[in-house]
Amino acid sequence: MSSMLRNPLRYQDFYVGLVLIALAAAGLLDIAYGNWRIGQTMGPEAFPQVAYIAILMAGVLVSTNACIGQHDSRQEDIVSVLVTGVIMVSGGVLLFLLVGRLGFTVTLASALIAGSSLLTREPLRHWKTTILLPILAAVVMYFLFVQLIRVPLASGWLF
Amino acid sequence: MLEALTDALSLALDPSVLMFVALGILLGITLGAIPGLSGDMAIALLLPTVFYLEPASALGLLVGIYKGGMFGGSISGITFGVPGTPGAAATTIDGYQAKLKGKPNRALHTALYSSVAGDTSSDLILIFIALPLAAVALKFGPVEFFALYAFSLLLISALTRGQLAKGVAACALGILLSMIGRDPIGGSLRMTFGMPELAGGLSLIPVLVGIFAVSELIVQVSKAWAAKSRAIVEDAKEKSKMFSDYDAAADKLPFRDFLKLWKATAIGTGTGTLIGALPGAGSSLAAFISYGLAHRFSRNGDEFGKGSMEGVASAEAGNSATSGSTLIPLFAFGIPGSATAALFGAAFILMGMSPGPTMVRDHSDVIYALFIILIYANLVNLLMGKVLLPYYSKMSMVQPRILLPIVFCLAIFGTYAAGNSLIDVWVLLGAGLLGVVLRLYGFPLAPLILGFIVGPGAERALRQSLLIGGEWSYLFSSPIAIGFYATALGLILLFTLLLRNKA
Repeated sequence: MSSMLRNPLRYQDFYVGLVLIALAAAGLLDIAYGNWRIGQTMGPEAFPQVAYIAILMAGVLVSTNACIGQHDSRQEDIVSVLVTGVIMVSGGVLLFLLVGRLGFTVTLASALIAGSSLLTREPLRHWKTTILLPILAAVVMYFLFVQLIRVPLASGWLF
Repeated sequence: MLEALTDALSLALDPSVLMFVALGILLGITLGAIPGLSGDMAIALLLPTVFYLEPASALGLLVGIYKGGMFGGSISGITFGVPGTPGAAATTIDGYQAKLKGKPNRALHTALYSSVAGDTSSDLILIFIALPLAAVALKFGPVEFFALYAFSLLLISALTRGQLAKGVAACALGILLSMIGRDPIGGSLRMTFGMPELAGGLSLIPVLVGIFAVSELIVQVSKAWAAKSRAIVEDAKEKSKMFSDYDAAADKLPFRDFLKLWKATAIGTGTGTLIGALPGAGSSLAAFISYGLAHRFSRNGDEFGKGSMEGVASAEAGNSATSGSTLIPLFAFGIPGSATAALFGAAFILMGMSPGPTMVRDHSDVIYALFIILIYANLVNLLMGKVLLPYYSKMSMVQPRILLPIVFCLAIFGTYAAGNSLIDVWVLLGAGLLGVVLRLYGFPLAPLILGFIVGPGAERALRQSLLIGGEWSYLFSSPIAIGFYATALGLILLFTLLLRNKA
């Protein structure tokens, strides 16, 4: 038995299970004490309740599996991927907000040039793909979204 | 029936539809061939275009991308040993070995022919099975429908990546996301956190594009940033020099030689079609099982893993044969059995059609047109493959760093264009982050999408059942429902054993 049980604190999946349990507990507490309209046989709260219970059981199973050594291997680049995710999402928000200030094409071309340059080792040496192509792509997308589809975007100082 | 068929023929054979099919195949092959990008991502990104195209053209584009992406994954696998899609991993085993032995052209042609053969057979099965099944499904009541929903949710949760607990959690999370907004029966608000913008619920496009495309883009950008993908591309470039120096004319595959591979192709086609029809099993599993079975029944089993054309044919036919059959549950019952089927389901919803048995009844012209498109898209794929195969391998050398920022911006503005709603953009970005977190911690994404799509239907069926029957035991009152529960449990047990053997 001692060889079967591992130290769960070493395994990422143990904490993943705990997070699932915490999420499910918060949801179930919200249903119990929050502003939910409760039905007699099966009200609007019942199906979310079933989903939270499923998450709770899954969390317990994931943690238990980690305790007996059955777990997914830890990805090495979690932090870098998460940081990239936060930066890209923030960039997406900024991009959308800047369209109203600088205009669609200028904002998009700037964003694409910045993105391509950041991902290229020597951006100026590869100017065709880091500067020229993004500008072309921005112009094509301007015609696609603004001229062809006529997406209502806030107009900026430029175009 | 005859009138619907005539309408369908005129819809499907319109030159513009043919053009969209060809464009879709080219796009699908390009994205499928670039490791990290996939046909599914392309379909997700192009979903908003269905608002602006005729239904037949939109379906032609999506079908083309799907079929092109299926085959595209094997091109980089055979040429560089880097499978472009997970489904092409089994093809890579022998395909890359064949290339190293100086037979890349034979391997690529074998993959193309077996892909088209598997795909076409699977499409025919879809056409002949889906319609009778849909007719049966029209007689289902809420008890049977709830059992069917439970069957699909259980199966996809358990089989997608083999870890039941994480699959169930992802599925439940998808169901919770679908519950945001108004309760479909009582109309009360749920989980809107006081935000009136969420009263209408989360839209399908931002959730799908965020979960599939944005999260994949974030992972790929992170890899490009860490110079890992650049290393793959440099490596691929280096290897492609070998390929470009190679005299392809001296390594042809006459069609009669391909016919000798009929047994391996038939095994792949049969296995892929069967597995593709099961919710959650997926093309990767189908390809590996086909490869294993062909190996088991081959007279030249020793050659497997050393560049065997039978290995390439069985794996590729198994991979591609899932493409038609994976749509069977969607057409017959309105339940998407895979991520791709979920994307097609979303496209139908955006076109104003409700996936399921009523769709076949109410929009027979469009559905028959889709069937025709599915068949002739294979022919277009074959013809384009014959002409463009020498150039396809070069497509897989397109560096992701060039495309990633463009695709990210397309995802943002495409989603905004679909609903002209700023909240959709925030949902897209939020779903993207959620998708990244789930990917990193080993959660499969397909159950989440399935939960999101079928959650409201499952809730409605369950609540209607309880209103009619009054107690939970009523859910087991129908023999069909009991059959679904028993089959789900049996299949989970069977595939758990198979997956363990595969591992």
